Amino acid sequence: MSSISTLLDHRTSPDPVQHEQAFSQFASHPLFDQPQSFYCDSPYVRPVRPQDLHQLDFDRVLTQSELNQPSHLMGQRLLLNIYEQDLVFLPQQGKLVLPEFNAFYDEELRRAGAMIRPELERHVFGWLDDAVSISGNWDVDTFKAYADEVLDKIAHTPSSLVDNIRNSRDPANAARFFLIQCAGDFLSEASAMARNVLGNFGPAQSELFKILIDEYGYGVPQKKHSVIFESLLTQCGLNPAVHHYWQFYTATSLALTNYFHYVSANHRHLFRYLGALFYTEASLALVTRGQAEAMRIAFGDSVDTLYFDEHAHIDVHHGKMAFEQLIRPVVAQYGKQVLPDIIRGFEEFRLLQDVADAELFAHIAWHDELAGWQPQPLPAQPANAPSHTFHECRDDLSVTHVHGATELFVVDKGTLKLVCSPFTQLDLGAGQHVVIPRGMLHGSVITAEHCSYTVTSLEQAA
Amino acid sequence: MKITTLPLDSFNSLEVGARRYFVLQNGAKPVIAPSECPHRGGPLNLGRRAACSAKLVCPWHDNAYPIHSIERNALPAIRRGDHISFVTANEDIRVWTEMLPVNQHKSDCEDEQ
Ligand SMILES: [Fe+2]
Ligand SMILES: [Fe+2]
Ligand SMILES: [Fe+2]
Repeated sequence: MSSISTLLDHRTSPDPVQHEQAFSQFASHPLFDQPQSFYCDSPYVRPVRPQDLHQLDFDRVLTQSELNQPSHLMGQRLLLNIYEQDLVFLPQQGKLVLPEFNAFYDEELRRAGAMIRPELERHVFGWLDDAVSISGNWDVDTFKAYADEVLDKIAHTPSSLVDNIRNSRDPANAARFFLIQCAGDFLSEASAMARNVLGNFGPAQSELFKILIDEYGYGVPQKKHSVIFESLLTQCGLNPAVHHYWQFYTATSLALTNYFHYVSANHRHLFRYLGALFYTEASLALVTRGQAEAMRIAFGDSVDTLYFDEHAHIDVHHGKMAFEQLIRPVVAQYGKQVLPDIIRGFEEFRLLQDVADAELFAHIAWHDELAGWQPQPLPAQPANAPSHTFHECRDDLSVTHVHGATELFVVDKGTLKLVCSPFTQLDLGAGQHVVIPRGMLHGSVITAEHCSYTVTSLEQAA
Repeated sequence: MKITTLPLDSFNSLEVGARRYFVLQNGAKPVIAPSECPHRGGPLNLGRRAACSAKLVCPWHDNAYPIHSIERNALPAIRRGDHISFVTANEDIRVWTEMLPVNQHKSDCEDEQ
């Protein structure tokens, strides 16, 4: 039986009014509401655009083809905020603003988050139930044979990250955008893993604990994987503060971090967690070589790729440990009944990784396209296409978001800056336009006293 | 061991070594189930569903098998989107290019149990 259908079966319908209140209470919290800037200076400031809440329907399961829809991005942002209330964050560079700290971990806010979490999880991860199914007579060796084949294919496939960065108009900024996608996860690396080491589950528990110790650097800050990643970010000209680039995470990058929290926050999914852990450790041992190469292409041979080299080494061990010391003994002790969920976790995380890679590459390609932007005559617009005009004042900032349809964005009056990444920004004046493809992350800030702009859908209404 | 990946809409029967299998739909989940009835070797692929589709009845002697017990002898398989991968020993695999007769009719829940 799949866990989502179980959730469905046991879904106690909460009082809809209370439920809606919890959504707006959580999403509209000042820490998650309108920020001053595109960059977050505090680990507690994580804008989610609560003003969009009324247009979105979290009560249904997204399909795989709908992952570029606005509710996916907002759902993932909300979920990461909910999950990370369980983690400890203190600013490393800036000052601690104690009221922000108190507010982020506030009991009322946590309660609201806990109330909306199951619905959000179903909304953003329910599609995996449709995408993957496991059947037949598996044993641990057939699973190993299958996993070996999958991993072997990864080992022998040229890195698409390397190709995308090499072929980008601006390899350094493409690589920076990739690092930003990793930052949401790597700056608090293996936090979800730590959710799984408490309790009592025998020798497997101690194996998992050993992996966790490696991730956390044996108590030595400089060895901690997140710290090694911070120095890579600094070297590449990026800010290493936790969630500084919050607004530039794609929804599917957030999904990678959130999936691990999802299967770790509720231990009913422990076996899925083990499968996903095996996939990520074993595949990282292979793909980090390409990631190190991508860094050298982007930043030259002098860049210190320790973060990726460390993983190319230690994740060979972690992959082996996850299989031989965790999965194999757990199946031997608890029987084949736990295998379908283990295999499912392996396959689900693999799929999520593929989907996240595709979204990253699509963004890099769009940023490249925008780098060649020139004023052009307006494209033809479909008859009676829905359009909206906005009037805003200087410094009004629209938090990054995506649209469910490809849109024509035209400045009618004044000037603004369209912000698609920290490195891809267009200054647009009256009469100028840009086409924003469906699912592409962007925000804007007004750079004149007054500015109006019109957004028109280029997709025929169904 | 050998991993084979096929588009789900490209086949519904195959042979691994001397054993035949057919694709049996268990709810949303495709199962690559043995075609031979464990009783006298009847063609389970032509069996009809009973008990709200929870059972498969062999056309030869009307033995009804719960789908989940048939699945215990099915090939280990993963469906990923519209493809299915399965693991076999290093035996020859033959996949028919033409869809072979398979009875996939669902049963009403009023059927005999
Ligand atoms: Fe690590
Ligand atoms: Fe690791
Ligand atoms: Fe927009």
